[in-house]
Amino acid sequence: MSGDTLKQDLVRVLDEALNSIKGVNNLSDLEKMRVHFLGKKSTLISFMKSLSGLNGEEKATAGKNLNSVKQQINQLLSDKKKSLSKSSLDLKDAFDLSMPGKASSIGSIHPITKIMSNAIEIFESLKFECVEGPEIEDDFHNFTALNIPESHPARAMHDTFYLENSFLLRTHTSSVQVRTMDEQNPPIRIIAPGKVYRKDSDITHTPMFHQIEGLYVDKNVSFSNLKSVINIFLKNFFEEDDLRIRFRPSYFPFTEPSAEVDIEYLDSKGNKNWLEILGCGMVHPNVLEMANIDSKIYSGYAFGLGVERLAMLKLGITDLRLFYENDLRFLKQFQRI
Amino acid sequence: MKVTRSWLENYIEITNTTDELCHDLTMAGLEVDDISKIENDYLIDIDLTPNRSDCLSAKGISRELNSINAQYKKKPKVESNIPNSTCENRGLKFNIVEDNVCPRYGYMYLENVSSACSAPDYINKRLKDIGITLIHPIVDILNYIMIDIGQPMHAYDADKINGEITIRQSKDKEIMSALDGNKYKLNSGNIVVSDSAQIMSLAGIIGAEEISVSNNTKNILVESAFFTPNAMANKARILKLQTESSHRFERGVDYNLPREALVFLSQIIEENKICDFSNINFIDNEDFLPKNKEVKINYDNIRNSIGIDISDDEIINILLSAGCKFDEKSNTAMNPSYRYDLSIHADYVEEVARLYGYDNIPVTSEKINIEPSKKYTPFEITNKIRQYFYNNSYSECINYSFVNDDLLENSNWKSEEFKNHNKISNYMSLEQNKLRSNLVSSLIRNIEYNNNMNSENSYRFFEISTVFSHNAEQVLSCVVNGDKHEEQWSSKSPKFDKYDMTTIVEDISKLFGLNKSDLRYVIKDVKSNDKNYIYMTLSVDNLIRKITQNIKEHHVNYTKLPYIRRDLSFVIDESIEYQSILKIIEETNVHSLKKTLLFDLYIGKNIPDKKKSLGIGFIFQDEGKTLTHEEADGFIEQILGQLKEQFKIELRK
Repeated sequence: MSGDTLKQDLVRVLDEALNSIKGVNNLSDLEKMRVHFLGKKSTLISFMKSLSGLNGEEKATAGKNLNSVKQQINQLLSDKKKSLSKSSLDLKDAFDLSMPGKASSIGSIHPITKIMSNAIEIFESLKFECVEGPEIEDDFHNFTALNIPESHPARAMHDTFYLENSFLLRTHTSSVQVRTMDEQNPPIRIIAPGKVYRKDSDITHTPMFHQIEGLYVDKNVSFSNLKSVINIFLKNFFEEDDLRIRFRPSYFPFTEPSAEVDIEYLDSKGNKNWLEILGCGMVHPNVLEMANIDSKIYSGYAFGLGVERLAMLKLGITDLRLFYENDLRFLKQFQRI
Repeated sequence: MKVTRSWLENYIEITNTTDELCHDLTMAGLEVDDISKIENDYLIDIDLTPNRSDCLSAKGISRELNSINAQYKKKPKVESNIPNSTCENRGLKFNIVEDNVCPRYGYMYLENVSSACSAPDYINKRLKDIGITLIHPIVDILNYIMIDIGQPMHAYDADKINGEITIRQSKDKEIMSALDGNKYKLNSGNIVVSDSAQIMSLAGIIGAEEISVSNNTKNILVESAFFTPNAMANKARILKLQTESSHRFERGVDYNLPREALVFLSQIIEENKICDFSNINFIDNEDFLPKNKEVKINYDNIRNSIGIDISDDEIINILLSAGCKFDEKSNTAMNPSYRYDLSIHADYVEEVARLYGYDNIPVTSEKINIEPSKKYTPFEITNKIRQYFYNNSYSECINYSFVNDDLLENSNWKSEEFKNHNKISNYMSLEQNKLRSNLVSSLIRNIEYNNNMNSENSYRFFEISTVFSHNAEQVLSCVVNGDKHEEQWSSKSPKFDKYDMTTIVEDISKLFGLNKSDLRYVIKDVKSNDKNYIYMTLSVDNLIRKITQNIKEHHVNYTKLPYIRRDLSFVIDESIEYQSILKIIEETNVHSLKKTLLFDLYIGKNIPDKKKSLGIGFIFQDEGKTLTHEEADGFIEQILGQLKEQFKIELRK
């Protein structure tokens, strides 16, 4: 092989490479091209081997030409590779608005917590101050000081859990009323939210549930004021200005007069029904006197809300037990802030 | 209390529909639970509050309806005389030891009771309508009288009575076989009616099987007594033996009813020629009969505490319609003997409000001072923590405070072994016999539950609640399992490790302007049912204390001059805590050192055994002048010198 023929052959190879590489549109075809033009069995390599048949000067010139072509092909390949990689990146950058995002950082707050905070906020805006009391109580604060002596038939209404040390799990947050009245002088305007316990378990009862107790003691507090506060609360809580509310007489040992409050709701068949939502009343004079508050000067009202019941109504939950199963399919339904 | 509409119509005129009638009852505090139609009649089920024992009869409910609304006109009572007895009183002797319990004991003999005799049809029908099973004609009539006027009575087989009848305290461990088929072991606190040989009945609760009336009974002793509510309180409940009779006595039966009931009984017997009957006998101790109470009425107090505009006369009329006596001279009201719930002034306030109608009481808004509402700090704090977890994809759980003897539970929240749980002495199930001392085991159970139900690869739960050990303490726990993120397309999620919990603790301390060292917390991992869980528990009570002691947020000046960073990488004993390294660095007191950051931790290949490699970055900055590189090098030499003095460290390249 002469140097001239080699030169012509190299021009041909370069031309071929130029055309072929131009037409490649993916990286694997490009790799095939690399093998074809620069691989062990390529024309260029066979030319390399044939160099040994040439003499000194010719050999040097041919070698130079060969290397130049090899470099040019390499450049073509790497340029093409760059442009191909760039276009595959472009494909990835073609943002798809409908794609899901990455892992969400939103968790969930338990519906009981949400409803409770919701109610507390309304009462705080009505100038009630929040207080807390112990869940493990003594008989005096849970019963006696609330006008429920040992012999009182009303004790049967509270199935109480007792601890081995004669303490008990509070059956209502009314015990916090007593503790507050022991410590503060009127005017007293408080709410006491928290867990309470009763020995009861079926579809409509769980052994633990949440209550919010409210108490207002001052001069000239009337049942009529109580009606007002409860009306404001319920209408705000259910976000319904036209909510129909009724008060009917009931009995609690620690209030007199006592009332149960019903709200009107539509059942699944669209019928109007009344549903009991809370208990309330004017603080019984015995309760005031036991807390050393003069019932001739001061009067007050108290109310007790069942948080689970409020949550069920507001969120349309029909099975009470769901609150304590903590199934993610339940919890994640309440992701709204 | 169940009663039919027609039974009430025996006493009053009802012109409105049953629904309207029931609405009136409900709105007066006699909540109607259920109305059901039976033939041409309605069965009404009333859920009575414990203070209204006067309404535990058809007569009582009718009386109440009449005082709620005069349109329920009383029907004139047919006057009938006490019929003449047709047999003698047997000469039985009575000894009422506990006359404070039983200040009135009435009785009557019935003779020649035949098994063929029967109670009149209207009685049987009314009883059946309200769901009372017929047993024996005389017993059925007694039940009828109880529902009709409210007096519980009892019938004994007179031929089985031996000797003197005593009403006394039971003796310890005395046994009685009751009519319900059960044997009751009594203690000394119970009151029994007994003869010389046996207990005849648990007073006012239930009769003894042995001496009860059967089809073979020929002669009967009928007991119509008054047992005081105080003495009856809790007796049936303790024995878990509540009966129609005990229910009435413990709430209070009108002490005038025993006579009325016996008279009524003799009238029914005579009218229907059922058997022979004796005259009516009573053993009374007036001293222990309830006294009707006079209460001075304070009209203004009634008006003010209800918040209604009502005249004195209207108040008096309401009290009169409720059956009270009223003395205008002294302005005192006196309760009727059937109203045990009217005894202090507040009771009269309630009675006026009730009969005035709660719905008629106006709504009067309160005057509130214009002051900002006060937020309750502990809730603000826990709500901020909840919000933090919410924003970091954790889900809040709420669990029962109860646990069982599960192994995991034998630790308190600090995960120390713990065996002194608060035990519930009257637990409902063994699953729930103790109060929990930590939240972690509850949360692990939540994850296990979800793992069975859901297809998640990552669980992040938290709870804030009180746990109980020697003290009650509010804590926060979070438990994680699996991948750090939900499955998604972008990149593979790393697994959780304990340092993720460290981040949470650091973040919480930052949220409240505290240092990590201010908080009481633990970070651990635990295995349960072959799954690994990582958890962090923090004392919320301690956090709240620290926050309330904390000074207010304030600004600190900073320099605008350029900074210089120098990095050190060195190998050190694995056992040396990062905290002690930081302490040494701090002690060098290089004023220009503004920030120290750990950028690398490496243990493994190319690092000797029991050693670790740390990479720490130092940011130097001066308030007064631009630092030179020579100065920065000097600081780093100073720091390195201190570290070398304290620890065996080896610089890496």
